[in-house]
Amino acid sequence: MPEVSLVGVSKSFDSIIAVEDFTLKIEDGEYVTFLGPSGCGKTTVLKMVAGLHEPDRGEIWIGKNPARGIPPEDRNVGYVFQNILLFPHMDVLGNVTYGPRVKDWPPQKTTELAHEILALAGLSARSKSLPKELSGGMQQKAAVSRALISGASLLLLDEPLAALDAKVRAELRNELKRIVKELGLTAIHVTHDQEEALAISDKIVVMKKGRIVEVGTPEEVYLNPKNIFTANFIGEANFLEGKAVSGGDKWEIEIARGLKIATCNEVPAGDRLVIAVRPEHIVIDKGQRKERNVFDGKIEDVRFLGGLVRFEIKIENNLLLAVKAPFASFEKFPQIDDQMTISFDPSRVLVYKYPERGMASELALE
Amino acid sequence: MHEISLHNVKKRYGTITALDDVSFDIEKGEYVTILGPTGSGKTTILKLLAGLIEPNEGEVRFKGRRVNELCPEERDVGLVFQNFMLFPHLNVWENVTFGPHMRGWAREKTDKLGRQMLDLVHLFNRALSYPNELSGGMQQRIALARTLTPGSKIMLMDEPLGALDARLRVELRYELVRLMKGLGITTIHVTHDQEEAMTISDKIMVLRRGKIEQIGAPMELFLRPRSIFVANFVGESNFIEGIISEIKDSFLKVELKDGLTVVVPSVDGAALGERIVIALKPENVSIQKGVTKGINHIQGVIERRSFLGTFVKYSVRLETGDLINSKVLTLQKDKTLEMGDKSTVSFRSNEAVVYHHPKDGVRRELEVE
Repeated sequence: MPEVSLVGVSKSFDSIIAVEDFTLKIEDGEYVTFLGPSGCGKTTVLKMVAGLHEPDRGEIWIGKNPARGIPPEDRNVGYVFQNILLFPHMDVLGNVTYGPRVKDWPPQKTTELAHEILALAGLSARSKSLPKELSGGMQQKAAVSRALISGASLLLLDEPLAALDAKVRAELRNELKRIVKELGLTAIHVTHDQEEALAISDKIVVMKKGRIVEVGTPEEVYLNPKNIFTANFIGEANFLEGKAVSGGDKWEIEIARGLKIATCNEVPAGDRLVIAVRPEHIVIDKGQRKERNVFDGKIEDVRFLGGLVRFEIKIENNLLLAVKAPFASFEKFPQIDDQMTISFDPSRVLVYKYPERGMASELALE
Repeated sequence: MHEISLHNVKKRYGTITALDDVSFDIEKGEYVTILGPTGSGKTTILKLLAGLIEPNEGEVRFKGRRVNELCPEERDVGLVFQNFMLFPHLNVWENVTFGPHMRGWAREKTDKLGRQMLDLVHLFNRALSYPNELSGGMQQRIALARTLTPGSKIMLMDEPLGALDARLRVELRYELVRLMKGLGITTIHVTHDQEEAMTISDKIMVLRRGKIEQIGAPMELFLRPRSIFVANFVGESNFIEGIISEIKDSFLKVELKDGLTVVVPSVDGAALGERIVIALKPENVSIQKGVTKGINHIQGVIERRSFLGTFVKYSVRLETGDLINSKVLTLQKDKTLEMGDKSTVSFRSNEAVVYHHPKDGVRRELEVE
C-alpha cells in the first residue's frame, strides 16, 4: 500500500530553486496537506510525486518502489487540478469512465465501478448530466471520481477547491476527506488556505521557499508552532520582542523597561527572544484578577467578526495587542476608547529565539 | 443626497435576468461589500455603476442625478479587477501615472499624486520595477495605486483580493479599508467571501439570483438575518425543523421530530400547528459530555470533530436525526470531547432565529450555486 517517502529531494528550474532538500514520510492512509504561500514549491513536490517532473537530486518512494523513471501513468496515482478539466461534450459517466475505456477495460466492470464511485461522491443522480449542467462543486467531485476510477490508491490534489466559492469550498473539503477515508486512500492535498488545512489534515506540512518549515498535526502547528513563520502563517499571533530575565523557576521576558511577561517555557537569562500569543488566548478580565500577565489598556479598534469580536488594545509602552473574544460574552458592545483589562495564561506564551535575519524576513510571505 | 443609488433596476442578458428590480442607496464615504454566490448579479451591479452596461429598466444615480447614459470616462469612478491588469512593459511609476498622463495633467500635479499614492501603498521604493519583478500582493497594491491616482471619489472593486493567497488576502483587506477611509472614498467591493465582507464593511448587500436578500451592517446580518439564505451565507447556521405546539408571549414552544420540545423566540404571523425552521449559529450551540437536562438541551452523539485553530467544531447527530454543529473556543476546552462520545447540546432561546417553513423546502433555500 502506498506510503510515500521523499528523501533529500531538490528541484530547480533554470536558475531558480523550487524545492530544496525535501524529506518527508507519509504513512499509508494519511491525509496530508502541503501548506504555504504562492511559490513555496508545494505544487512542484506534488508533480514530482505524480511523475510530471523528476527530481534533480534525491529519491521518491511510492510504496516499496523507487519512483524514478516510472512514467506518470504507471504510478497508480490520481491527480486532481484546481481547474476542473472535464470533457464538456461528455456526460458525467462518460467523463468518469474515459480512462478505463481508453485502456480497454471490460465495459461492464467499468460501468459498475463508475456507479460505485459516483454513489460515494454523491453524484449518482447526475451521471447523465453534462458538465455545464452541474455546479462547480459537483464538477470537481466528478473530476475526483474520474481520478479514482482506475484504482489509484494515492490521490494528489492540487488546490482542488481554489476555483470554487468560499461557501462551496467549506462544504466540499469535508466531502473530499470522507471519500479518501472511505476508500482507504493516501492523499496529498496542496493548499494556501490555512483553515482548509486545519480542518481536513491528519498532518500539515508547512512550506516556505522550497523547504519544509515544520510538520505536525493541526493541533500541533496551531497551538505549539515550532517556528515564528508557522505561528504567523497559520492563524494570527501577537509578536513581542524582549530579553529573558529569568530567576529560579520563574521564567519571564522583559518586553520594555518594567514590562515583563511570564511564560511556562524555560528561558535562559539574557537571551534575545520573540514571544507569540494568539489573540483568542488573551482574555478580557472581568474582576477576577489573575496574578500574572495582567495589563490595563484602552480599545483602539474594534471589529465584529461574527462569532468573535476582534480588539486592538493599547497597553503600557504603547504596545498594541490583538484580542479576540466571543461576541456572546458581552452584555454591551465595547466601544473605541473604552478601558479594558486583559490577561493571558503563561502556558499560552510561545517563545522563540530572535531570528538571525530579523523578524521581517522571518514573517515574509512572498 | 445619496452618493450612489440604484432605483428599480432591471438588467437582462438575452432571456436571462441578471438583476431583478434592485434598489439601494450608498452614502458618501461608505465601504459597502456586495456578497453573493457566483451568478447572483454582483458584477452586473458593478458594471452598471461603472457605465460598462446600461440597465433595461430603472435608474443609476450619482448624487441624485441620473447617469444611465453617461459613458465610463464621464463618471469619474475607479475600477479594480481581480486580475491586476498592469501594463507589463511599463514600470511601476509609469503604470501609476498612466491615467493622469493620458488626461494631459500638468507634470507637477501628476508627480505629486503618483508619489502620494505609491507612499500610501508602501511601494515608492519599487517605482522603477516592472510588474513581473513584483509579487502578487505588490502588483495588486500597484493596481490600486494606479486606480487611485486620477483622484476618483468612487471606487468599484471586483474581487480585488480574489487572486491572492488566503493569508495575504487577510492582510491586504485591512489595508484596503484604511486606505479608502483615509481618502474619504466611497467604495463598493464585490466578494463571495463572507468573512472578508464581515470584517471590512460598513454595510453588506447580500445578493441571490439577481435580487437583494438583505442590506445592513455586518452585525445586523449576523444577528438578525432576514432569510434562511442569509442566515446560512453570512456566518453559517444550523437549521432544525419543527412544529409550533404553543405560543406564549413572544416565545414559541416547538415540537421537533421525535417529540422533543424547545423554546425559541416568536416570528411574525406564527400560528399554532405551523411548520417552522429554527436557525442557530454554531457559536451559540454549547456542548457538554454526557446527559444533561434543561430547556433546549438535546442529546446526541459526536460524529465529527475538526480542529479549526481558534475553534473546535463538533458535528453532533441528535436524537431527532438532525446534524448540528457546535463551535467551541479552543481556549475553553477543559474536557476534550471525542468522536462517538454521547453528549448534550444546548442553546439559549433568544439566540435562535425562527423562519416560516419555505414552500420549496430548506435545502432549496440554502443552494448557493
